[in-house]
Amino acid sequence: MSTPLTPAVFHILLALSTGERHGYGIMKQVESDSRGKVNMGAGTLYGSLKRMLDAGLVEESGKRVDPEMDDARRIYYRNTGTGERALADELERIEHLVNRAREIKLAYGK
Amino acid sequence: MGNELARKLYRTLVALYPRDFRTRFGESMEQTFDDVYRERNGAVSIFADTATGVVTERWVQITGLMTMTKTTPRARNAAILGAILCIPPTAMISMLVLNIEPPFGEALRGEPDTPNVIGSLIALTVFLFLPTALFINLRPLMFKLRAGEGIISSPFNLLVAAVSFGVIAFIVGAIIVDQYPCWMGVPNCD
Repeated sequence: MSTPLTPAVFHILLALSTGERHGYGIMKQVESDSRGKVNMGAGTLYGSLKRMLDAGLVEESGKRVDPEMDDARRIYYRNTGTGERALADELERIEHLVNRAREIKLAYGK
Repeated sequence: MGNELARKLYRTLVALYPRDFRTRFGESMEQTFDDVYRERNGAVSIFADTATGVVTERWVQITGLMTMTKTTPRARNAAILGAILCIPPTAMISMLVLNIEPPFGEALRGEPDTPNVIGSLIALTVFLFLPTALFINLRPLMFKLRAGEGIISSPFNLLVAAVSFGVIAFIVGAIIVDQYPCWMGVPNCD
């Protein structure tokens, strides 16, 4: 199993797993996915995106206008095949941990 | 805080990022700041997070230490420095093996039957170049491996690491072969 991802990288990959997004779109999706528990700032977001782009986990998918926002052209990002595999591995790792935690909870009757 | 003042302050903060980062993401960061400011009626937290980002990226720029960091310029520098560090010890070993007297050998030799402290120190320092070259070239290779790339993706680092390791192995092997009889208690062993 691969090395655990940092929380920021995991949240970004998860946000991009449902479609291409620009920076602020990723921030909003992360907030939505985490039910408002994670508010990712621009520093964390773009620092993580830089490393993810360099590692080939995400890629730019072009610069275009978001029809729901102003008329500024924005850079959109999407997951690569490597990014999707890293996300799948991480989800599997988390699932295993959650299952293990449930087993322990059942064993101790709590 | 007024919108224009906030934008100016944020732009100043973004200007503190390393140039490469700023060129790549500066415009997007300012757009994101505008989005946050407009939709959330203020953006105090984004200043704190961006200030932390400045420190982080400067730290990454200096050390190259960060998960998933592609260290291409650092890897290139490591390969160049490592290659330079490998030259003196490799040249010394080659001269020893080929029985070539170095031009400065006479000056370093010193008096017979007296410990040659300066010569030994110089030799030891030069030989320490090899583990240094090995270490600084193993680091980018480790980063590549952690990023999920093969070590072949840094061929020059791999070459320098292999050469430095090979010369170290040769020296250790030669010392063992040379000194083995002494360790086994052979009389008059030198």
